[in-house]
Amino acid sequence: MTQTKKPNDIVLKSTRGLLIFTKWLLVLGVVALAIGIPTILLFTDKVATALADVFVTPPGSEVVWMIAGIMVFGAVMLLLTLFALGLLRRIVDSVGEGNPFTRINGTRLRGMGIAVLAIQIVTFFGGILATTILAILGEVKPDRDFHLSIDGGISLTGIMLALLLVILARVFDRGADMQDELEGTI
Amino acid sequence: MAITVKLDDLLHDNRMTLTELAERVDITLANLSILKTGKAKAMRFSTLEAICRELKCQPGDLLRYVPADPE
Repeated sequence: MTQTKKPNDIVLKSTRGLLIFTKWLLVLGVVALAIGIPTILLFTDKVATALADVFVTPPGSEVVWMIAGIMVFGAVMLLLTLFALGLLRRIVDSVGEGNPFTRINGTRLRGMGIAVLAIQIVTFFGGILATTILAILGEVKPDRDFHLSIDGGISLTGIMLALLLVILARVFDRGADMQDELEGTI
Repeated sequence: MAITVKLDDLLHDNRMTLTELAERVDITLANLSILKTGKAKAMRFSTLEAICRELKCQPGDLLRYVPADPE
């Protein structure tokens, strides 16, 4: 296989660094949620009491379960992002090695596209659940300073990104075909 | 493949080794071996030109079309 020069420039190095940093931030987030979900379910009464202190209508324990549900959605979203970042890191590594036009990179990009689409779906259902919780919780007590807005629709940018990744995967598949042809040419 | 490369015959006629030809046409011995054994998928005009120049032949002397057996 033809190996070209290794372009280990500042852009690649900083991208790698940023990806590693983001990966550990996400891992931290997943660990926090993994601890937080069972914790709020163990102390349902205490969480419900704390909520009753802020909202006019005292919420039942089902609201705490719904909050735990939101946290599960969050954990799934973080895991999907971790998965997509892992694939992106491998693509960046292959660019560093000077051989990015391979079929595996096409598969990686397709995987990233599917992950982005899955994140959109999880965000959408998470948004619905969060809106439901806010509706159940109702009015905030006048003496409490609490404001929360939910923005959980389907993002057009996210859908476009997923489509772009899937199209880019096809570009890489074609690139891999052309690389094969080139390698058989004397 | 229906196209065969008659590099062996031409090398013999010119009393030249594959290594020597590789040096003269500036192609690696590995790539020239691929060409000789008929494993190459394609050939650049520049390669053809260099081989024809060094072996003093025409492209038709180097390549031969052998129709595949009808199944």
